[in-house]
Amino acid sequence: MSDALATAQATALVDVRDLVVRFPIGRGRFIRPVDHVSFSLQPGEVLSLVGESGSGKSTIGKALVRMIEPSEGEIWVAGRDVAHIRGRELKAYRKDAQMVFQDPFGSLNPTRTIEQHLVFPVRKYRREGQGRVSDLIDELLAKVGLTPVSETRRKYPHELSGGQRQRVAIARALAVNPKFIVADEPISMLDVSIRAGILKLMNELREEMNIAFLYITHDLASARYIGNRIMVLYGGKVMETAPSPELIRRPAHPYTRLLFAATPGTRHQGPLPETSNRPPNLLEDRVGCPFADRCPLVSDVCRSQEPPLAEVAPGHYAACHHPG
Amino acid sequence: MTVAAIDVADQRAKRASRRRNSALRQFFRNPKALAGVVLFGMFLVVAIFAPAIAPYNPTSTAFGMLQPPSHEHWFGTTSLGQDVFSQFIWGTRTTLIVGVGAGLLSTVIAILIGVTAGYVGGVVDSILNALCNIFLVMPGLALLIIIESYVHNTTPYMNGLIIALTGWAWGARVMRSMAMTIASRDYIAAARLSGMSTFRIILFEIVPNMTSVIASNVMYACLAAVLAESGLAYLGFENVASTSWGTMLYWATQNSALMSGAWWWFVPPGLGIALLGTSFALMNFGIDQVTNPRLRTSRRRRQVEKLLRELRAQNGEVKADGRDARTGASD
Amino acid sequence: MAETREPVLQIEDLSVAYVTNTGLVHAVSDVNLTVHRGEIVGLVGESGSGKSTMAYTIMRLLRADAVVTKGRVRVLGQDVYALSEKELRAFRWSKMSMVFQSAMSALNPVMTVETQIVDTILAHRRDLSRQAARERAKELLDLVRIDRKHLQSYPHELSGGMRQRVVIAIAIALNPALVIMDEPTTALDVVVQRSILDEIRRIQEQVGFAILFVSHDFSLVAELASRVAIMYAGRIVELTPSHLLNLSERHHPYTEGLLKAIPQLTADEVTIQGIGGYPPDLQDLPPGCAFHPRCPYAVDVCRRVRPAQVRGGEKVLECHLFHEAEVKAHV
Repeated sequence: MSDALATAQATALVDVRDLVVRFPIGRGRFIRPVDHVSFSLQPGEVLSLVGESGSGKSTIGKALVRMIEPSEGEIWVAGRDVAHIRGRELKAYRKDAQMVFQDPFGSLNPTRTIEQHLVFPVRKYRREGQGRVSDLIDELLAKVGLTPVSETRRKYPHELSGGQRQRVAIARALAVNPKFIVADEPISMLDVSIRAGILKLMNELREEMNIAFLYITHDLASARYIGNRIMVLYGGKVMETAPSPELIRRPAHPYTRLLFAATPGTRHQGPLPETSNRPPNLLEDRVGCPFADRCPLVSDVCRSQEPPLAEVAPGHYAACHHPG
Repeated sequence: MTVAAIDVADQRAKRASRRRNSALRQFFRNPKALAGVVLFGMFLVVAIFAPAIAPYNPTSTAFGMLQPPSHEHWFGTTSLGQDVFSQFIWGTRTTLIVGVGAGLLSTVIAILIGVTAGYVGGVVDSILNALCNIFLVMPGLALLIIIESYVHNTTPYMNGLIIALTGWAWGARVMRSMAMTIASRDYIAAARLSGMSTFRIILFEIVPNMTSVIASNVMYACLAAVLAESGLAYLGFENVASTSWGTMLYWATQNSALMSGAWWWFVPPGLGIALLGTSFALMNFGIDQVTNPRLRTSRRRRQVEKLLRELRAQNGEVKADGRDARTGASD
Repeated sequence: MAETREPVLQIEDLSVAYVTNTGLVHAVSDVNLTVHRGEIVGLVGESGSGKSTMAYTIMRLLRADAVVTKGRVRVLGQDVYALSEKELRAFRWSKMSMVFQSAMSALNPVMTVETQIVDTILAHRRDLSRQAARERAKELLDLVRIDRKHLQSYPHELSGGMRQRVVIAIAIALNPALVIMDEPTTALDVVVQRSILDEIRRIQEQVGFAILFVSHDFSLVAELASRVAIMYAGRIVELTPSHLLNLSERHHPYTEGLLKAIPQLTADEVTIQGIGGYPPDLQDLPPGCAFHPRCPYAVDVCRRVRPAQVRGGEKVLECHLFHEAEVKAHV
């Protein structure tokens, strides 16, 4: 492991080591949506987690905020391992890690006003007096751009548009003053013209409040726009990770190149660089590289030995026997 | 009337009606719901003001026996010389208290058990679900009868309690399903992530989203409770000195009212039960229509559609009755 | 694919409105669009644009509370709204068909692939034999490159991409001249989406039907279609050849906004810019141009007067900022 990596881990806000999540699927068999994933997140950094369905990206996000408990591995946040904490410790952790969900229509309670959504987290975690709570709510709504604040406060979710609801969801996450926010596909259900606004808001918050983001998406382009680094996942494993411009300039892993070719707007000519369209095998007993079934560069070693995540350029890692 | 004119009128109406469209107001505008509320309201008024409305003491046997309806006795008298009308009025109070009370209690139990099972899941769900299934499978009336035969001479209120304690299972099932659906929504996950306790989540996040199901359940439970209590009383499983409609029916049957042609004795309580039950059912319809917008019909909407259809027919596109009207490429 | 100029779809001055409790909602207004034989035309818009309503209007699949208030839809010269129910059934699917947004809800989960294809064929062509329909089903699976053994599979046994290809196969079963595709790839992962689009292109080149491709995703549409119509608040604000869809050409401010809002996949510094404001409320459109509250170039006339449609060859534009000569020069 390089010095740079070791240093990064030591100062990291979030340090995930060998995270594994297993689910039983009956008859004594298990699948691993997350299979030994490691990464770190610096304060104020944005890490983009890119993958398709079945890649494990959402599961990682949920494990990070402890919506689910990982089966193995460690999650170090600000000096302590939160992977298996419970009870009061877990409640205290809620102050550090928050989440913004994909569906703006499902993430707000239809029977409560915008104000009511924010009162509880503000009161619980900021321990402010009555008067201050109301002011803080105004501040939060203003910070996410939902002006005029006095009007928005009293509205119900169905009176707001998708983009506005997502801003409320972000305000709710901000209410506890978190150290980092997991954003699980926050813009994929929004209109195209609204997406940029949300991404820019996240950028502003990162700069102003030094909040780190784990940005989960299936879209390489927005991952590039907002992420300092991109991590590409497939079948529960990390395929490639690198600083964003570097990953786009020199994708080393065949799966990353496949994502490129498939992304609209790249005007890729010819057939897609894949040998089949089978979904990844997530069973616990699989061997070799999870991408072997679809890889145009596959060879025998790929099917029998899982490639380790190795450095192919400074700060740029790929798990491939034949990196490009 | 042109499309443009309809449009302008609609703009005005829309600005006004936006303020008025809360669920409660829509409920009261619904004809079925309104009928149900009015009907129930009448019974409610009677129950509350029973002492003022009933002309005589219902148990007093001072009057002539088996008299048909007359000026002094609007519903006639029983074979013991009691005034049927007074019995009916006081019976309204008893039946209503039992029916509504048992309905509400049973719904509360259903919510507690169903929502907890649906939201908490796991072992708690398995246990509560099993409990629910046991109560579902037990034949309600038979169970009530068995309990009655141990307790003996229950008052209508005790019957109500027993009915509530045995009849919550169906509602709990429904609540459990609904709670499970709601629990999977992101805003519940967000509530957990903001550190909310399970109790708070159930009370403030889940239950408020179930108001239509709960309201519907209350109506159904009250209806079932009224019928159950009346049924028990009619079969004699209630203190026969009590004054509920069911007991009136019991006595009427015991004294062969049907055979002796004393229709005034059993028709009022029977009709009372039927009408009260109908009021619950009507209010239930109203709740359904308000909560499921697709069931809503709007007279004004139908008018506008008809107008637009006629307009198009005038323009020679489609005949108003929708039958064969091929104009082809001729225009 | 050589496109002849024979029109398969002609939308003339079309306006569609929904009748709601709060007034008429003008989902589509004054739309003119022509699709020629073998052509792929894209229809791009966001929420409230009316693109899905358009798609359903062409197929005559509107909900009961939607009405065509003006204009005509002609497919192969035939006015779709002039057909009787019986004629419509024969017309649909053999002349025009639709690929719906979500394959999982378009396919019946309890019927095999073969049964669904055969049933669809027989429903619209009662003159064909079951045997002929079965043969056609096999041909279709070959065409969309699914192994014939999957004729006996159920939808849940197929992957998302395969299900979508089955839906496409069903849509082209009777060789229609026009296929409307309503966001056919929205629910799919990016790699599967690309392969489905490639399939669509390949099949279209082979069979030769015209496509109206409805989507909110600009980049997708631009790759497939030869012309793209951009809709906003129920109107087509721009119609342009897709090779001109880039920022070096002048476009309607909304089109420009959309182009700027798409992050480019490049190693260089990326800037994106959303369009300020909120999607239009179709029940409460502003006076003048519906886009003016969000338009960075809006001038006084935009706020008062709705822009007229300007046509020049392949281009159509509705914007005060463009003179007729400018539009016509862009051919």
